[in-house]
Amino acid sequence: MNNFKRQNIIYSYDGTFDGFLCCAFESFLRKEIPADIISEKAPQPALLEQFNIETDFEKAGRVKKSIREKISLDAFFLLRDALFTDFPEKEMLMLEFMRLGYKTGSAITSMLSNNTVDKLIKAVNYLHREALRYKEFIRFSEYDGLLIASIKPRNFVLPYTAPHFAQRMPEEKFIIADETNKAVCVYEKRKLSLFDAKDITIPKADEREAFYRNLWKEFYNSVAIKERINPKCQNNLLPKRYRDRMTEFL
Amino acid sequence: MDIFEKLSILTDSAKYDVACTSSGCSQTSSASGGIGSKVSAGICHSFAADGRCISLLKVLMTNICVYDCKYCSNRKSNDIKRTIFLPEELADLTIQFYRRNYIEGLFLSSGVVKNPDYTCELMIKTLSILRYTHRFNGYIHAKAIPGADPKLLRQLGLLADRMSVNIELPSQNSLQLLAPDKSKNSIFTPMGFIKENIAESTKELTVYKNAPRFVPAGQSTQMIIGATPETDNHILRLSENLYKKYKLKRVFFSAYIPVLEDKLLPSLDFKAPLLREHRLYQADWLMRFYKFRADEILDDKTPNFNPFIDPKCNWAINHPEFFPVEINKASYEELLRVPGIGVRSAQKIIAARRCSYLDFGDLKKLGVVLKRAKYFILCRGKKFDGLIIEKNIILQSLMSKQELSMYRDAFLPSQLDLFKETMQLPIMSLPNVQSSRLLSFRA
Repeated sequence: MNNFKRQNIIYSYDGTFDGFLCCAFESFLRKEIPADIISEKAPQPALLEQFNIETDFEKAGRVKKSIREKISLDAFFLLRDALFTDFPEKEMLMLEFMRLGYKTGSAITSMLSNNTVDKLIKAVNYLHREALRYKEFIRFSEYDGLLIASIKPRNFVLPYTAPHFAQRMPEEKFIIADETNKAVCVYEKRKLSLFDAKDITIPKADEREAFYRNLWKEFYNSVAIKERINPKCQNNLLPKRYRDRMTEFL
Repeated sequence: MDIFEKLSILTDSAKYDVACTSSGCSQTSSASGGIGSKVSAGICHSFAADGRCISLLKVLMTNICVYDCKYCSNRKSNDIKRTIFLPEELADLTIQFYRRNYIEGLFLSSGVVKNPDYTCELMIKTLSILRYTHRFNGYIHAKAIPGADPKLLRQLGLLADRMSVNIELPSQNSLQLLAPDKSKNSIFTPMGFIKENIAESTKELTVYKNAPRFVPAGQSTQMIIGATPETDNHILRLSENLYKKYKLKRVFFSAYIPVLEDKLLPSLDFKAPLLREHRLYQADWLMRFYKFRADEILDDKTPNFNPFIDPKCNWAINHPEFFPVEINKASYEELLRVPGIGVRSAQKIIAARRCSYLDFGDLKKLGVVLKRAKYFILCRGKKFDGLIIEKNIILQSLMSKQELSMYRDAFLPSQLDLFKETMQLPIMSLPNVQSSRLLSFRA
């Protein structure tokens, strides 16, 4: 594994997990470490030679199988989640993690003092933490029986947040719009689906919706104990960047 | 009265109840539909201006009350506006808030209207509408009404996820003085009843999967701190006993906030003992997650908490014989005793040291707070590089910014002469320090 050569070449792929696995496949096949791996979704001007890697599901499947068998299932999930994080150069980190994983086997997920493993696990934990924050702080508004919410996360949290609401409210219809990643998640007839979305406009609240918003604000303000006001504690637990979409702060 | 005003009044009356947790049981929405699910870790949906989490719609059924407890703003003799929720109205409000992801469920408490049985029936009606009409599977915390018929309590418990009976005051004397209508008996009887029913239900569930679930998230309680003269040690012992004897999930502490004037209560300019409450929670965590016993944290010789240093650090500096702890060999329980190492970092240390020896640099990655931990640990037999073992410096590292400035205010510089001895040996003498400034931290 040590005879990998660093090459001045940039891999580009379609931004999907299967696409990334094909990059890994090429890297292992050619025994080379690219200078960078970039997604076509976020094209960057590159001075180096670029190598477009087509997504081939058969190759991706082979890599998936080998990660599960030769490293571990935990490592596989970690890699899958890592692609949704906002870590810069996450693809290179994932590739490094794979190279290390094939060397050490299933022990890799407990090698917490290793730099690569540490960075990857922290990035993934951050993704999960943010996904949890959105389970807490998303606010839906009702428009004629349809629930709509918009979010502006740092990581791509929709795949972790939306299923929570789907199983919580199986009989509702809802839409969660992600402004950062220009994606919308639609839940209807007990089915979740993910779409790309360029422009997202949220309609204005009607009278009934405004009524419940005001009730909630009333509750929110009444429940605080004046003698215990503690903005520092509040800011720690509910960071300000979430507040611009929360009913009680509007 | 419109629903705005009702909500405002009945929230205002309920806000002194501390418990707002939605944890303890998990359930996904049933395949047949309905609405709501539960997550065992609980979900907080917002944080109020006082920094307390808002997880449940915390309201009273009514603030009408036949009792006259001196500390309570809903007491009979207090001249305030009274109102009552209709069961349908409250159930509908809960569902509408829940759909918008404002809340995780309902926290329902109540003043006693007419009599305990009638009040309990009103609550049962509300919860039945939620559970059966709206098919609501979300979290419900119901307060048991002391003195209600056990049959009604059982019915309430089958509808709720968590129940609680408030101890209110930490000793019988205080209770007699301030809550003449309540007795130790009227509080511990329902608590025991709930405990037995939970145990029975758990047993049944192991045999029949579909046996009715009685209070699946367990029961909790709360007591008011600072209105009466009990020591921290007394309170801590009491909560340890409650955990053991009544299998409580949580004991909550609520710093007394003067809302009413009464010669039996602290005056209206009394400052809520927030720091003391904080220390009690720290000790509570030590007992629940760090395997400490109450008598290790406080004893008859030091009946109250040190205001300047948290109970875990306080234990560590008073038990030098236990340290240093070798990170690569120590057991999980030993690691938990080190200041700067928490439950998560102890677990990570255990996992990571299977793969390689750990050094101080690695510990930082695992989330250990070296600023505190470095005085108490060894890595592969070595001390932290350049470690200066000087009591004042250690003490400073163990204090938070806030604690440190408080400490300086109390001992420097005007009172330097007065506390000369203390200055030289601050660590050992801290727990015994009694000064007028210090006393202001407790009631």
